Formats: sequence, structure tokens, C-alpha cells
Amino acid sequence: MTLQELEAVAVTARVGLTEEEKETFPEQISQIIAHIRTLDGVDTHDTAPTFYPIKQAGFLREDEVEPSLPKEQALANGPDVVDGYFRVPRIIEEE
Amino acid sequence: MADWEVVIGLEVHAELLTKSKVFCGCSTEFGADPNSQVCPICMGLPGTLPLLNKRAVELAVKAGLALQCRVNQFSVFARKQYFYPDLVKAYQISQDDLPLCSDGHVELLVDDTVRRIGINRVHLEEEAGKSLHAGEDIMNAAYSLLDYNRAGIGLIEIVTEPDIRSPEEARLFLEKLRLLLQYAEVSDCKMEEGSLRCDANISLRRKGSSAFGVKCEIKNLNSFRAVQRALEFEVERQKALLEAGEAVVPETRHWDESQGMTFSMRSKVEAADYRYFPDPNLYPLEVAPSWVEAIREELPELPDAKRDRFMEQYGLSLYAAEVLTSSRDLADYFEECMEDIQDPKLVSNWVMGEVQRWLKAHGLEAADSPVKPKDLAGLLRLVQENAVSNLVAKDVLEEMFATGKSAHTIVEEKGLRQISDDESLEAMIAEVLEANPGPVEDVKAGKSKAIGFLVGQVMKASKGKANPQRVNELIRQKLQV
Repeated sequence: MTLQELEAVAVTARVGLTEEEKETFPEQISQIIAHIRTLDGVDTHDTAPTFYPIKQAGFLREDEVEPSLPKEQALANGPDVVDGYFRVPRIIEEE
Repeated sequence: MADWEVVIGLEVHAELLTKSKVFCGCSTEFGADPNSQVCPICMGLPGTLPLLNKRAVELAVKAGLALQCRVNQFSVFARKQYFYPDLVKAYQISQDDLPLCSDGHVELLVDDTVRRIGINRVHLEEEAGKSLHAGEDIMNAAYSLLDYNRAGIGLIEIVTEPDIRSPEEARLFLEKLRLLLQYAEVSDCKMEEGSLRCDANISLRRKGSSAFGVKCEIKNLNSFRAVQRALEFEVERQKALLEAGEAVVPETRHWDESQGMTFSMRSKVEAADYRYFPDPNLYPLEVAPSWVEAIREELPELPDAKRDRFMEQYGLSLYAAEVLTSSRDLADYFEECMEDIQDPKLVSNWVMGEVQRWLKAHGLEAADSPVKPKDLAGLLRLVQENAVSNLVAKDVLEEMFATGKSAHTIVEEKGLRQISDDESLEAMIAEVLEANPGPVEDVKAGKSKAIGFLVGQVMKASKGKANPQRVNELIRQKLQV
């Protein structure tokens, strides 16, 4: 992994990197990727893809309304609450 | 446009008509207090698990069937990951490479030609929350307010193939799609409440070219008219760029309704990396063929089939059949009225004309009309029996809408019964002929147009109550023409 790739992944995941991490991570992550690549050697051409580890049909619920959280509780963790809404900074980035 | 071909594909989101959300039991009712219909599951709090709403699956399958799709027995929920304030979990539960329904189509009548628009997929996902932007719009907002009542409501995303060839066709497609989803009772499709939303991808290419041009995605299309207008603007914008030898930038653009223009929102190149992967909190969805068949049974007669049946069964024109089936309510109204009075031409003319006019004036759907189909039949029977003239019947219908009284009551109360007895008519005709010697001479001289004038005068004298056919006959007899 190059430093450029590392920085791109960090931006996508909204993760900040220190200068030290920028130096050590590319090498370490390259090693992890190489390790995982061992799996590429397995012949899977007639194996069905696994989407879930156990074979089980999904559970379904009936369409019935259940009580929601009391509003005060729903808003309790909000750092900036205005008139029953969560307030967030402007969404569109400056050009 | 001689050199360019327009290529449009639409992504349409429709909210499902379930009582509760797709992965939790919170109510889906519109217009509640902000953040009063939320719970740990739809707020994405740690340690919660989603549980799929059975009805949401049924409605999504129903939509797929109405759009002639294949329903996939096995489909998988995936996480679509991005950061946006309306998305509490920082991922949306959606479907990626194994959607619930695939490969359908919708047929449209465009300039008397049947156009078939391919449906790539219909998949099930969850709604995001709703943001209110302080200031005029999202571009200029200082901050935004978030209401998560909508977060987690069941949604279908319908993706078309890039088969649409003009902005007008895009609007017609949406109108047809809405009709189908409303007929199937999958979604109420209210664009103004946001229960139907549309994003459009558009690109231009040289005529005859099979490669696609660079496309832009247009957002904030809040009405069918906006879809057409925004696309028309975009066609011109892209054409101007291409003809000047410049490149179209692949990006998301925001439609500004008041300015009638699209604006760049953010560069698509650096955005869209959704890192889809199967959601480990949800088992794959299995829909047995027997379940699909049971859902198919629930499907009502769809608009195209109904239109064809109306033409066949009632001998209606294509136009009349299209108008009458343009809403399920209106079609039902027509058919209920037909049960009482078997005159398709009379009933269809009245339903398409006067009834629709007063429904519109009162802002009502046919199902909520104060004049029920049997009430209209009562009025039309009076017309058939020549008890009232067409003209008077129109006034009577207006009164029926206003007061809810029956046609019979209004006609009797106001003495509107048509005058058909010759004795009364002849007296009126004699007066009119005496007062209009000029036109009488014209008629005698062979100018048959003047008869119309004389009939009109008799109608006026009778306050619209004279039977015009009989008046016409009697005048001809009298003047021996």
C-alpha cells in the first residue's frame, strides 16, 4: 500500500492519521493484505458464494406498530438539540 | 438536436405503504412531531438488531410484479456506507448485487407509439432521515435540522435502463410508474410529501454512436414538471459544452426550481465509494415461488389491461379508455355508474368531462366524491329520458356537488324538468318566429344555419328547459323546410 492509497482510505473512512502513522501504516497494512491474499490460492470455482455463515431463512415480523422512544430520551444523546431536532453544521462543502 | 441523442436513466424511490418501519416497529405516519417516531433500531444505537417487516417484502414483490420483473428467490441485504447527517448508522441497509426483483419493463404511449422502458431492478431498502435547511436551500444553509421519523421507513428503489430518450419521455415514464404503484397499492406516491422521489442520470452522445457519453446525476427534482424542466435545461447545457469542444464533468447537480437551472453539488469522482458488503445482521431473504404466487393474486387489474378491457367491453376510444383508467378511483367510478346505466358513451363523456371538472374544482379524488356513481346514474337517467336537457343537467350536477342533493330532488325543487310537450313548445316557437322575421326568411330561403339561431332563441325563452331536438323538429314543420 502506498501512502496515497492510505490517505484515500483514511478520507473515505473519516479517520485521522498522525505523521507517525503515515510512516508506519503502509508497510503494516501491506503485510496484512499479503497475508489475506493467501486465500486467493484456494480454488473456489465451483463453490457457491457465502453470504451468511449459517443456512437459515430470515426471520420476518408482522407489520405492527410498536411504541417508539419517548422524545426526550430519543434526543438525550444529541449534543445540539433545537425545537425537537438535532442540529448539525452546514452540509454542502465550500467549493 | 439533429446531431445528438439524449440518454436518460432514472432512479426512483417510493415509500412503501406499511404501518410500521421496515426493520423496527416505529410508526410510519406522516407529519408527526419531529423525532417522536424513533427507537434504538432506527436510530442505529449499538447493540440493536434489525428485524424485517414481512409486509414490506410483499409490497416490494408486488411492485416488481407490476413492473413485469423477475422476483429473485434469493436476495441479500447489503450495507451502503457513506457519511451524511440524515443517515444515523453511517450506512443504509439496501441491496446491491442480489436485488429482490430484476429485469422488468414499463410500456408507455409516446406520440401514439408504444415505447418499452427497461427496469433494471427493484430493490428493498430503508429511508434516511429528513433534513431541514436553515436559509433558502441546502446550498446556502448555515446549519440543518434533522428529524429521524422517516429514517427506516421501507423504500423501494426502482432503477431503469438508460432507455429514455427525451425529457418529456422521462415525465411520461414517471406518470406511468406512479399509476402502476398506485394501482398496486404499493405506495401513495405523493411527490409533495416525498413518498415518491426521482434522481435522473443524463448524458448526450452523437447520433448513431453506441458508446455512452459522460453523465450527470440531477437531484432535488420535486415534481414531474421539475424532472422534465431540469432535464431540458441539462440537455442544452451539455450540448453547449460538447459543441464548444469541452468535456462534460461527471458530477451530481442540484436543480434550482426558482432559477430554472442546475448547479454542481460535489464532484462525483471523489465521492461514491459506498463499500457495499452483505449486512451480517440480516439473513439473506428467501421468497418462495408459492409466496410470490400468493402476492400475484393480490395484484389488481393493472392500467394497461384495464384500458384494453374498457375498449373491448364498452367500445370506448383509446383516448377515453386512457383517461378513465388514469386513476384506479376514476375507473372504478365509471364502472360503478355503468352498473346502473348501460350507456358507455353517455357515462364516459360525463365522467371524463363534468364529473372530473367538479372533482378538480373541489380538490377531490373520485373515491371521495360527494356525488356517488349511483347519484350520477340518477342524473343521467333523467338525461336519457329527456326529462332534462344536457345543458340543464350540467347545472344540476354542479348543484349536486355543492349540496349533495339528488338530481331528482334538484330538478323537482327548481322546476327544471324539460319541456317536451308540443303544446307548450309551439306557443314559445310562435312568439320567437314572430319576433325574428329576418332569420325566418333566411330559413325559408334555404339558409339552414338560421334554424340554429331560432332554436337558440326558444331555448333562451324557456330558460334552457325546452327539448332542443323537438324544438328543431317543430320549427322545421312550421316553416315547412
